[in-house]
Amino acid sequence: LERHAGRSTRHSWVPYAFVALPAAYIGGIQLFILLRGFWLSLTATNLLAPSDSRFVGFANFQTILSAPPFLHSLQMTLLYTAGSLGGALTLGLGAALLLNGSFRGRGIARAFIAIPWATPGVAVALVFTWIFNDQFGVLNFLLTRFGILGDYTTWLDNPDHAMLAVLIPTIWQLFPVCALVILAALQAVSEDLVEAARIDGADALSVFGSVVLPSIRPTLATIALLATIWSFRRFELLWLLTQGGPADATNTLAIEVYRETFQYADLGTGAAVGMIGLGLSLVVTLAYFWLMGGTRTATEQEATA
Amino acid sequence: MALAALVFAMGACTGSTATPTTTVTGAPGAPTTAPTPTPTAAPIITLKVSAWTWTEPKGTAIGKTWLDAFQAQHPNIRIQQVAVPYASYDTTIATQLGTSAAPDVVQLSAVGFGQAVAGKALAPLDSLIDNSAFASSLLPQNNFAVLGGSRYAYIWSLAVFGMFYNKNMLSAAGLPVPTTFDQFMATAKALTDKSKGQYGFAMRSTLAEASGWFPQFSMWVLGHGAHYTNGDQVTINTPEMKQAVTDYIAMYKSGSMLTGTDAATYRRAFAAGKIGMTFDNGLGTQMASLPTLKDLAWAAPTPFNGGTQLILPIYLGISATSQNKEAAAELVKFWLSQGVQDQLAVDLQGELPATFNWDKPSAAYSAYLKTAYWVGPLESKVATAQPAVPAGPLSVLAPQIQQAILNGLSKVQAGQTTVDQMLIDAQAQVEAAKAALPKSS
Repeated sequence: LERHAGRSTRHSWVPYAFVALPAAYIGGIQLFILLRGFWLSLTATNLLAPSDSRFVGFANFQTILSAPPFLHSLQMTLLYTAGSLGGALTLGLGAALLLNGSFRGRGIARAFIAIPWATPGVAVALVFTWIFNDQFGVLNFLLTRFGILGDYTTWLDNPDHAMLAVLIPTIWQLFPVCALVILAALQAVSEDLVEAARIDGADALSVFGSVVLPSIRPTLATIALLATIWSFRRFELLWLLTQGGPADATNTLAIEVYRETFQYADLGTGAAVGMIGLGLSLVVTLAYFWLMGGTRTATEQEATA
Repeated sequence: MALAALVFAMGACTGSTATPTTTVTGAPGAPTTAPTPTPTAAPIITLKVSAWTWTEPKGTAIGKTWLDAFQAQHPNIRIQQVAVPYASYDTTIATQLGTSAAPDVVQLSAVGFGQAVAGKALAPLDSLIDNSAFASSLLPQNNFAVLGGSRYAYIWSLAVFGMFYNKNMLSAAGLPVPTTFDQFMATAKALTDKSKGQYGFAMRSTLAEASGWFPQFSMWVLGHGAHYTNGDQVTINTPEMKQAVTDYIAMYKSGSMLTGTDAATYRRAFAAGKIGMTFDNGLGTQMASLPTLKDLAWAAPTPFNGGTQLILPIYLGISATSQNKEAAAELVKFWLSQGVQDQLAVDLQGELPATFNWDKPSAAYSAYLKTAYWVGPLESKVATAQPAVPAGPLSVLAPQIQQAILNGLSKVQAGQTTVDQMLIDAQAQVEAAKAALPKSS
């Protein structure tokens, strides 16, 4: 026993060693950058003269929070995030349910569905710029050919259509990863439970609602969290398609950070916008853990009962 | 590396002759009066020189010619070219200027220049370069780089904008080249035949190409006698600006303009004979290399009743943090020397360098003009041409002005606001940005 205890004592540093590397990374790099970013947000700093930084307290936050353009940008961020999350999860769930069935060519279909996710964002933007082109775009051609539109319309340059136009490629690129993750969860659903529900007379919708959905809920929550944060910080697709326009119709926080920092050379305000974006991401993450905690408690109570 | 070694060796050989003046080996154009070569025993200085033009074939060739010639004369100075693509140039250089990582000599866009001066990231050149040596031949636009009584840069090049038109289409329709807005509208309408995919006019009109749309729209602004700023005043909401926007929107909504299309697409359509007229400067560069385009296209000033033409100045300055300012100044002086400038006037193909002698152009330039027929009509307007945002204390607001104007135009194009309201909003937005400027700016 003493020998075991001695070995245990000798090896007690092992878990700390494993933790040390990520801790050093998070503390040394991530935390430093975050703290530096927070400090910048409290200063008036010109991008081209960072050494002339001046402490201004929360003046940057006061300025941007009271400015209509920022509040509009916040609205656009929430709209873009909600749209991409709702669209990607709905399509992803539908695709996963289809791919979970048995049909010829299922393996090929599962491989092909990943293509949009694997396509670089810049390439997606270029292709969709052409699809949405006013004069030569295939979308206008098809919509007028099938009588849905009377005449060609502008997509990326019309404030009424622009958000929809950037959401379409966003969802197209995001839904495959949702589908594949949900598919993995679907394959872990107990066949016994599904079979039992069917024997009890449940129809397909009831089986999905009472057996499948509760089983995949943690996975759905996780992918929803990841997709939300991914949408919050999405930049290249929006920038290449619309640069946040027209009339700020697609101006999300990520675009606003870039504009303030690099176009207006205002590092302090850019950092303040970034901090607010970070705060929103934290709220979403905390809400996720709170929901997951509640779900776990309910499941444990059910198991105990 | 081998090339650098060769140039270095050539420079060393040249240096050993120790003659007071040198005809640059392989240098462009006429003989150049150059400083006495530095002894080879001097310590080697490495100068970092950044430019986006070095990512383009034309710019690469030009850069190699004069930098090789400079190094041949200055064997103790090595040039390290920093090539950053245009799309990311301003942001990349902005993050370096003001730090020890900054290039010693920097090419700057008009927007980048204004911000760099405001951020005190450029060295005043008055004590480094004797301006009187070049003053007689400097184009007046070099004065754009004098702010607060100090010179911060010289002109790298001036891109002259104008109207390019398909001479065959105008000829077939029996129409003269328009010189007024009314003629311009009528010509565009007459040349449009949508059943053939043919449009009378094309230019950028989409925010995805904001950096190109803004100068092209500014051609309308200057052509109508309007300016975004005047000294330290924001002058967006004026009757002249209202007329410029009104006329632009009339063209946009006329059905005679190809809208929502990027520059590459409408330039291809122009080359294919599908576009009657376009506003551009880059098309001139393409005409130099595309015989079919040269047969098709001609150039003229913008058709706004003789209004001011647009130029796009590009600047050459020295970083305030450079540890090699004297050597950097030598490079700028070499750039301004007559032989280099004469050759650049030809090599830049439709753009002008910092100096130009209108009364007595070089023989090479005169010969060049006979082949590049489109250059003359545009460059003849350079003396009075203006940049989109006037040089001065508010040039630092160019990004905010661009944002306010293009956002407003997008709304008017979509019918979401009126021209009057657009101008009121844009004026207010830029006024707010001006109020937020540090007092020293």
